[in-house]
Amino acid sequence: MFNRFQIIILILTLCSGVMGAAQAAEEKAVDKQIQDLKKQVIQLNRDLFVLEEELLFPANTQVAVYLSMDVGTFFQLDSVEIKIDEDTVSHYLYTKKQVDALHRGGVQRLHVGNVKTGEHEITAFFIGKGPKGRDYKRGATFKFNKDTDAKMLELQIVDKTAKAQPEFSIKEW
Amino acid sequence: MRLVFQRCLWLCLLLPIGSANALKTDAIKDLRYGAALYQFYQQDYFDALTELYIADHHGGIQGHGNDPELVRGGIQLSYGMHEEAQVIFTRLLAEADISTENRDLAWFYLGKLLHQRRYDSRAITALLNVGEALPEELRDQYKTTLALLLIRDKRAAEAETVLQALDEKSDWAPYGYYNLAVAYHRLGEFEKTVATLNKITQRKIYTHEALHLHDRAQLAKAHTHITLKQPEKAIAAFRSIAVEGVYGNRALLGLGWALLEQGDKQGALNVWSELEDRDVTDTDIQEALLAIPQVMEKLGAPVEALNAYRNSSQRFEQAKQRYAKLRTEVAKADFFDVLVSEEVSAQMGWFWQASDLPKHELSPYLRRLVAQNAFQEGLKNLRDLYFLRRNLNQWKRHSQTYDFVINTRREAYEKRLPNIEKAGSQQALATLSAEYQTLADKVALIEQQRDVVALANEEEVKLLQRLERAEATLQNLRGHRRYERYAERVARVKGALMWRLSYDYDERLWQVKKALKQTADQLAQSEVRYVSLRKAIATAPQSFTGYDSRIQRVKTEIDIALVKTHSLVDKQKLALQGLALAELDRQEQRIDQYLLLSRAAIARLYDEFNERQVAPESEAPSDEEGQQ
Repeated sequence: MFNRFQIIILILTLCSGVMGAAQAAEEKAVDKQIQDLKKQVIQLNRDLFVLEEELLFPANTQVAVYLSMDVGTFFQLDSVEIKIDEDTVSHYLYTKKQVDALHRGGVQRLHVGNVKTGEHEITAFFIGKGPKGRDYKRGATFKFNKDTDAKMLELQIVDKTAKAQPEFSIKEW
Repeated sequence: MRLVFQRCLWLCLLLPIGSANALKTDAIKDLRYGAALYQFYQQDYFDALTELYIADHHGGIQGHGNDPELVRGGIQLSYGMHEEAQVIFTRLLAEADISTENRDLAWFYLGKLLHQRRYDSRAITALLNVGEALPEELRDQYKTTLALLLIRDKRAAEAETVLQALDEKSDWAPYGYYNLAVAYHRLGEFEKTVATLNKITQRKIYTHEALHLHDRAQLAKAHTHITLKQPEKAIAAFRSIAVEGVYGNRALLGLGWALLEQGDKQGALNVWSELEDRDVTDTDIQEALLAIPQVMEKLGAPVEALNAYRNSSQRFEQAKQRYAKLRTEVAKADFFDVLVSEEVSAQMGWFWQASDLPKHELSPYLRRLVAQNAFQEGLKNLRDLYFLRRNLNQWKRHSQTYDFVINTRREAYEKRLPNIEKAGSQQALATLSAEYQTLADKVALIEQQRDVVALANEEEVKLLQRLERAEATLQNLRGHRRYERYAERVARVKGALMWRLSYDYDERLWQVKKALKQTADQLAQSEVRYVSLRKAIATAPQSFTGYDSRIQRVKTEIDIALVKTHSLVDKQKLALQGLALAELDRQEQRIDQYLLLSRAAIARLYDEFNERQVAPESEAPSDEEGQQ
């Protein structure tokens, strides 16, 4: 009896594993078309991003602000606020996943905007938990000159092991 | 540091969310690369690839060698773009300047890719090219994958050699051991099978996945012991499996059979009674539902057996009704939308599993179907298509506003231009420049001639004019008795005035020259502003010209891509529908078989009762049941 049932199941299981050749070919064709579509949409996405950037943030007025972060032993990032010439242009709250991506070396494009050519001042406030889990808010200020090329600035959060403190700085690229 | 970076990166490509460790990347030398990694580390593969393509548009990523290309290939592999990924890995391997680490990584991922695409022989060749530079963190996965492929290629001895070098504590080790055990079983080497499976079952269980593997290995071990005619060991293995786990049903069923083999019919019945009320679409439950009355018959309880067969028939009938309902559901256009909701279809890679499916009334009936690789891949494709569709629809909405932006800029320009031209004409600036030059020449002449009178103020000029008039009058008074007195007074006043003019000359000249310089500066600024204005007037049209054709082109491309997406969604749904219906056919076919067997048994029992002229105690047989 044991064997009889097992044979029935085996036959049924084997039958269930057989897929028609035509069906498999069709699935492969659809899969190939989906791969092609993904490539096409990603390229279109690129074109649209570039177009939108040129349209809304032309190089002669564009300022892009990036954020990078070290291992974060002395600082747990909650949010960042950016002011350019006293105007708050961004206030960003971070998820755990985003902070993790920053810890692992990702660089976030935090803000893209427009400023006139000439001297400007950017101030960034970093809010989170500092050493020993205490509430922590620090600022960094940087003066930059906007010319006709797109301006890229990087906000950096770095652990200073010697001081057991985080350090915040702004780098011009 | 570079190696650490790569290890982190490649682990992320391999591992599902939350399992990649927090190693630090090398310093970023190109912000665009960092931005791509930021998306990639969040498993937003679509956005990560877009960032890499944007970087290409801006001249490529600088300072990171061919790492970005490896990342691109890896992301494409994770995002189901196998063909593109294969092209990249193949191209990288042909490059002369590829580092040894990157070469090993490229071979490794090419091997994995070929393995995924079921080109086993080519996958083995690729993996055998991997050298010693492969990051340590990947080596166990590498060995496990290679061993699996060798086993499939009936090269168990080579697989064994590969797996001998495996770190027994590695998370990959149980997979490798399990595959090797299966190979030994096929070769009839049952003792080796058990010994290999023991390496899995003796591991400590910390995670759900580990428990799953443990139960699977115990189940395989139990069946091997049955083959070896060792029912006691089989029973021990079956009993160590979690009864509520994935393999719980199969374990209880097997345990019942093993007990039966030992002659413990009541024990078997007790075990199987645990299965009676469980999900009837599970083949193990179906088998148990038929096995229970058979054992009851053997125990000499035909009436109980008859009732159990009736119960089985009823359960099979219920299952058939559910299948019919499911068949109707599957035929509906939105059925797969429930399985792959738009929320689920964010950007998760191909690590996404069917266990992530939203709860659905009929989901348990699809379990077997969803476990199929083809169905899983079909669902992933559908989820990706939904994501692409959503992305395209967003761009379609955005692109509608582009025309508005362009038209607003054009209108503003055309409206302001005449006023700007009027206010900042070149002629006005030229007139001002000429006036300035005249003034500057005049000041130079004053300085050259030390013309102190030229720097007299308005009051002094008036005084000078009065003195001139007084001198003229004096000419007419010559010979007058007071002429000398008047002449002396005029000369004294004039002398005093000239002395003051002479005394103040240097300061006044400095003031004049200072004012002149300020004028020159303002004039220069005006010229700069004028040049800027001309430049702005010339460049302003760039903010609204040349875009029309580009906007039109992307709009057309969005529409074309949307049409393709809709079409592929339909095709993919149809393919999934085909798979679902085929699986339902198989499941129904099996249920029909079991239903037939139970009804035949009921008929047989009634025949036996009739022959013995004994009516079952519980209930008189109906004509309908007898005819079935």
